[in-house]
Amino acid sequence: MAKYLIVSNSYQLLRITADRVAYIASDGSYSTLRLIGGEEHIFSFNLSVFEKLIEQQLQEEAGIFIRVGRSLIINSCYIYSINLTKQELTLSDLKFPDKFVLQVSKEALKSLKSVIEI
Amino acid sequence: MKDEINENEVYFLGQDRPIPKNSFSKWKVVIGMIVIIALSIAGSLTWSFHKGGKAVPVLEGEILDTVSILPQGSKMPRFNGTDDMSAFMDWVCKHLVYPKGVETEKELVVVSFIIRTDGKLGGFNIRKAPRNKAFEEAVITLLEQSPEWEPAELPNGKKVNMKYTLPVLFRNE
Repeated sequence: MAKYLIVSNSYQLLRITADRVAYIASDGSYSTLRLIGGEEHIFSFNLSVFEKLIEQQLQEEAGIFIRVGRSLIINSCYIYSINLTKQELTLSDLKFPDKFVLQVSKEALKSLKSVIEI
Repeated sequence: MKDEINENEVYFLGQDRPIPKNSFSKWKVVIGMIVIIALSIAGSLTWSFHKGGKAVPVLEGEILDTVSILPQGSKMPRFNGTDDMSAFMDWVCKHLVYPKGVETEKELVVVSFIIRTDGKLGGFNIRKAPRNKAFEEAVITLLEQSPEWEPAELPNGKKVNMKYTLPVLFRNE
């Protein structure tokens, strides 16, 4: 049975399976969780908090997520393409209504490429 | 909680983090040393000791970010005298007014502000907002009416300003 990720703050609670999460992006002290359907949920805590949450709740299933630098956690199942020239990471899948194109630094993309090429 | 990840670090969650290659380039070390020397020369750096006898640097007059590591025994700001940040979020949700004429639009406004030592909010800075200025004006107008806060405090009782970043998502449900 799939484990659920439960993220909550004082005014909302989100309960989702890991495969619904496309990525989590952070901009300082808040984070935006983006689901594969396009929905966005904002939480006012940083990515390290999300990282601990994912590891504690999903345990072995946490391994599908990859931390990419300070501002991004992605679901590795949906990595579609890495373009070092344009510094773009594209997440896509048949389940997606539309793909997500993320701007990532060249060095982080190189590291990501080497991590998934293993 | 402070994020201590290297900007280009990449790893799978739930596994041991790999030791980053070339995490400190020669130029990062040089720049880091220049920053440390500049801070030392600039002055206004005071040292205080907490109970354990361990030196903790405190910058006088500095505005602290909510992701700063405060010394043990410090107090975070408290909304409306007795409540905490979750009560502030509730207050924002209850009192935020959708700008007229755009009630069906979904927009994000990110604002940073300072919880001042006098308990009032100030230093509003819009970090992200849609083109229609009505949304950011609605947020600022609301924050200007905030009830008073108890400001952040260092272990020695000294009140300090603290900066807070608030994302506000306008979403008509």
